[in-house]
Amino acid sequence: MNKIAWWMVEILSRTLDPDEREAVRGDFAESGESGGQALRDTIGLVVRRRVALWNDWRPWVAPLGLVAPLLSGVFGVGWIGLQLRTIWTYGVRYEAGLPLTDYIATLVCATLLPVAWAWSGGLAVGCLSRQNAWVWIVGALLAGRLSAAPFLLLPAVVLVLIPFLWGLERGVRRGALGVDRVAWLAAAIAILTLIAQVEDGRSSLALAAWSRGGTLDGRLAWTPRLLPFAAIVWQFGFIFATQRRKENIT
Amino acid sequence: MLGEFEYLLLTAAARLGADAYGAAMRQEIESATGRRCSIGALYTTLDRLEAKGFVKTWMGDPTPQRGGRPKRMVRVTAKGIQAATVFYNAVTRASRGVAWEALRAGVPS
Repeated sequence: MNKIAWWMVEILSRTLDPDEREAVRGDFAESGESGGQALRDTIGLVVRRRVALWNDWRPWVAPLGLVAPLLSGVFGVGWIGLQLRTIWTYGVRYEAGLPLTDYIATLVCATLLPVAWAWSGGLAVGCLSRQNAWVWIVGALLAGRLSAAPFLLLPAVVLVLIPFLWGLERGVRRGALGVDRVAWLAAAIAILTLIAQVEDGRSSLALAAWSRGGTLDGRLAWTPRLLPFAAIVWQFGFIFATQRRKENIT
Repeated sequence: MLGEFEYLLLTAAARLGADAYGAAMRQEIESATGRRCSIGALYTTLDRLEAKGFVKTWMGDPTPQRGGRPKRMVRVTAKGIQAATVFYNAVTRASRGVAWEALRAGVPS
């Protein structure tokens, strides 16, 4: 029993910072604690540490970073999924009426945009919520899995999940991107988003759903056009500010 | 204003001086209060005190009686001394004229 308790102490204490882990294990050794007592103390410390992570505004804001990836999953990935299914089932393009150049442009848009949105969303979530990020990932995966049709699974994994996890990993490790690179990236994604919006006259375009009903009583309805920007602009603002602060400190 | 446990920690660290570290402070608090002090409460409160600038902590050298593991050493800062003094004076002033022992003797248990 004592052996099992010490084994559990060893496992649990791995979630602590290395310095704290060493100090706590040393305290146990010095005071001759029993395995059960040490286990109770370790659980108490780990729980307090986990709870303390939520005493900050950042982890609570982090889910905003999931908005763009989830929306791109719904819209951009939907178009790709439809293409794949139609080609697989009938051997023809879904948008058979579109000229090939337009089709390729749409395909590029629908592929790059979810990737860019998901990556930047992951980066923001990682920066904001380093140790609690897993909570939001599990939530997003469950939400995605419950709402996604089976034929969307492959494009969702390739275009959203993998780039999101990649961005998240960079964010958690606080990977230095450099202000210049972030600015270029933000500009590229903004242009990509803009293209998707400008070409909204074509129903086949990626993210066209944003602009469906683009006219209201004969006038342009701007709200749906601005939504994609609202979804991504904050995360670039945040990443940009983080990078600037980092460069000022170093 | 400090909390009760924060004050106990500062007092233990001040009493131990250069020998103030996690396990020793825990023992000091347990013998002063007669109650068990959990490691979780000790280290999270130490972090809070350090964030407030009341103590400074650093990792000491490893020792054989700790299985070759280092201690987390603690030193009370001038700001911490000031905060503990304010707390002590407030408790002393608030307690003036109140004889707890006499009151306890007068209350049937």
